[in-house]
Order: sequence, then C-alpha cells, then structure tokens
Amino acid sequence: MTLAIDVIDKGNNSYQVVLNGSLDSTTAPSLEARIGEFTGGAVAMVVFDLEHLTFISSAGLRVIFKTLKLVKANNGKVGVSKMSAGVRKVFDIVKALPDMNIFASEAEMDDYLTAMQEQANEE
Amino acid sequence: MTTTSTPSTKASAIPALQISNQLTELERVFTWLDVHLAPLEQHHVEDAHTNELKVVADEAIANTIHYGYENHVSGKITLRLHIDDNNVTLRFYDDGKAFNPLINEDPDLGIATEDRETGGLGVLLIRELTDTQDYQYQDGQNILTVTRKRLASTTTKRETL
Repeated sequence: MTLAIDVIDKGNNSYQVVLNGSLDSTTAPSLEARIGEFTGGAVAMVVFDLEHLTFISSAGLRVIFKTLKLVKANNGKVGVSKMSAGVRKVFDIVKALPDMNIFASEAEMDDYLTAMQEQANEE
Repeated sequence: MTTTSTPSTKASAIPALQISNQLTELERVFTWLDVHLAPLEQHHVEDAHTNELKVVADEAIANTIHYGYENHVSGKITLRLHIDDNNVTLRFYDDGKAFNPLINEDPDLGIATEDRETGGLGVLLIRELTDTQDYQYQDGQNILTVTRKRLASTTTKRETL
C-alpha cells in the first residue's frame, strides 16, 4: 500500500495535511515522521484532508490522536475534512470526532482559517 | 475461474494465504481479500465487507507481530477465508507466543481523545466491525476467528418477507 503526504502551509501557523492512499500499519510511521517535521514550533491548526484517503486503521488513528494531543497542548486545533463513509465509520467507532473540527469542503476549511486569522489579528 | 461463478450460493474453497510476520506483508493480505471478496461485491451491495475486513486484518496482524514475536524472531501467519450464504469467516493462525487479544478491555472512550491511552483501539475495531470473535490456542498456534454476517443474506430475507 502507498500513502502520499502533502503538507501545505496555509499561513498563520496553520497546516493542511493532504493524504492520498492508505493510512495503515505500514504507512502510518511515514505520516508520524512528516508531522514531526512541522509540529516542533507553534501550531495553531492542523487539518487532515481525507478526500483521497481510501483506508484507515488504528495505526493511522494513533498518529492523528498523537497530533491532537501535541497541538491541543499548545492551544491549537486539529480538524479533518472530506471523509469518505468508510473512513468516517472508523472515526465514529472510536468516538474521536467530537474532539476535532470537521470540514465538509475545502471552502469551509478556508473560511474557518480566514476567520481564525482575522481573530488573531484583532487580538 | 468457473468455480467462482456462483459464490453467493455455494461455499467456495478459497486458497489459504501464508505470510511472514512482517508488516510489509499486509499488501499481500489486502490483495488476497480484494480478490476473494470482490465476487460478493459484484453480486450484491457488500462494499463495506472488503474495506472493513481489511481493517480487521490490519489490526489482527499488527497485534500478532507486535506482541507475539519477541526479539523479531521470524514466524508464519496463515489466513483462511470462508464464505457461505450467511457469513464471511476470516481466521488467523500464527506460531507466535500464546496471546489472546480479546481479553484486553476496550479503551475508555468517555474521555477526551487527546487524554486517552493509545492502546486497545485495534481490538475495539475488530469487535465493532465483525459479528463474532473467538480465540483459541491449539497445537502451538494462536487461532483468531472472526465472522461477519453477509448483508446480502439479510437483504434477501427482507425482500422475500
């Protein structure tokens, strides 16, 4: 199985992590390493774009939960966007979605990030 | 291929799959499940079977590799798949140390995700994505058996009521 990972810096310490392929026991370590590259500093938000994620198992969930723990400890947020029904079922079983922001589309995510940025500028 | 033309009505003999105790072998497992579960999806709406049984296979095999083989000793894991009119049965045999994954309690999902222990998620997914789970240790082998009711069999029953 393969997993392509694309990290996009959306500005204001926010990152979109675009996953394409299978997030399983063999590919999860590569995602963990990639996330470690940019979560060392301040992170306001990490959004996992799951539109092209075909598969997720607990190894993948653990990487996302580890990111959640790290980012929330620094008052940041973690979101997921565009989940397929199969991927969503796995998230639902482990009851993780209430602790994350959920975006149905790219536009919804961008609007949220823009609002976050405007709020940060006002403060 | 003629023997697979009526998979929904006859129990078919599917060749077992033997893998070494390496996570890289998951690719072979997924391909094997794709090949043998595909006939179900062509005849009935059972798309969820393949993907969800792949999750189950990932969890069961990753667990076995992590806990069953100390010091990276080499081992063999065998998978058998049986499909009949009512159930899909997936059975994992391994020659690692005796280890019953089903005795672990599910993680506490009532607390915030970021505060949870990270263990136990795999077995929780196995339980939730299958209808029955059974573990036995026989002849030096761990045997984990899971079954899923076939969606088509329940759909057909509903249609004929």
